[in-house]
Amino acid sequence: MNIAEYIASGILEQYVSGTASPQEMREVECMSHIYPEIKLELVEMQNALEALAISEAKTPPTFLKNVIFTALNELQNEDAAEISKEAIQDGNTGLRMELPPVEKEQLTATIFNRSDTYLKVAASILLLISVGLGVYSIATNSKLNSTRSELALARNEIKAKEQIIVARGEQIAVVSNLNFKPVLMKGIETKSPESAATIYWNTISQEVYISIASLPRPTDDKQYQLWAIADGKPVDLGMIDSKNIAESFQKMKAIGNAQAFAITLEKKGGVPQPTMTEMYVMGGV
Amino acid sequence: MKDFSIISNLIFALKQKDEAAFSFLYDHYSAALYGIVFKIVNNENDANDVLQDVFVNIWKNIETYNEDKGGSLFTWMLNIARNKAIDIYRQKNRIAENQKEFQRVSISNESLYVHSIKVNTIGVNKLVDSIKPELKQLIDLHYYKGFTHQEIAEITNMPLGTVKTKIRTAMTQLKNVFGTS
Repeated sequence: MNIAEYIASGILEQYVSGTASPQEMREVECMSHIYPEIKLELVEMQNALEALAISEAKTPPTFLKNVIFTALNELQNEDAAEISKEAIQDGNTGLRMELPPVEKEQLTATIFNRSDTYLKVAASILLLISVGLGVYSIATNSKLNSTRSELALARNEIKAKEQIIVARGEQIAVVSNLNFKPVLMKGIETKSPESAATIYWNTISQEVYISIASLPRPTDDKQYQLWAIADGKPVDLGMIDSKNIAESFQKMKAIGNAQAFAITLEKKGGVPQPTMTEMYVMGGV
Repeated sequence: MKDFSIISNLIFALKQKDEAAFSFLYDHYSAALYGIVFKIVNNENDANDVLQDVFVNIWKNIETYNEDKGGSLFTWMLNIARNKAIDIYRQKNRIAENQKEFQRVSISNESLYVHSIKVNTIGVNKLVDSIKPELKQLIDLHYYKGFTHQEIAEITNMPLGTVKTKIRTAMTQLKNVFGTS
């Protein structure tokens, strides 16, 4: 991933000017989280535009603030009305009718003065309503909860896909960047002749990426470790993520000087010196 | 009362629909937004309508604004303002009229352009003037009026690649004028 080229491509301008597509917007957001340089550029651009807008500000007519805040107050009242309506529909508030004490006495007297049939009918109606509201509220809540968890699942799925897209974008950027020199690592004849992987090494920025073509799936207690051979000595370049090993593309530790690269299978977490009998692939620069 | 000049405080309070926060927002940003809206609609009546629409929209949608994504609050509001202004200003006239405007500005101001102006002798407005008028126009077209690179190529009659490069150069100059964060 060449950051300078990405910044120069004009996509950040499109992001800030609102002319980028929703997909491009998400891409920029992902990239700015991964690369501090992109984030910094984005922040600086926005600050500069804000400063320019302020320097070219035009004060609106004074009456406008009142007009606008009257409109906002109306909105707030509508919101409040909406909330209380929802609360009633929710059934959580129940039905509460507080009458002043005097009226209450009069009302009780009136009801008892008639026959207690009224009371029974009234009570059963109230009971029916409250049972109904209870059932309705349980049903609504469980529906709401399942919608919420569906939403959370969908969000996670999108997030995972975004990560794949970003990784693939990075892979394309590295592979198509001429500063990255591919170093093919072939399977060791006596160990695993089918295995193969490619190193993309930028000798200027010293960045190292690995693309795995084929390696046997390691057991849970083992992990592949990448080495560079520099002036006859092995240098640890980091552990290879065992997840989706068949199509893995991963950034490794940087190195400026190397004559060869190799992968060994080691205990999980890695070792300080490679186990030569466990070497799977190797390739010279 | 909270210190609204700390942007995260302001955003939090806006999400609570705090009226004092909206008042602060209006006092600090309405003029900048109004300036941009005016550039697009070019008359006071429409600009007033748009600004009201913008604040109603901020009120209704502030919950969806996510600071962590990468867009600043100002950029978010600028997007709303730009879209509302463009809605009012008929889409079909946008390119033709800006074409005329671009030609007018780039011809009349070119000769007045002086490159090396010292920072400490003049104010920010003059510094903005130190950006080549053509580049300043491109900033207006892209960031404030929301034209795509392609549309700007049409307006300015320049190749797409040139437009991209010039907008990039304009941004670099702008960042120099206003310093970094």
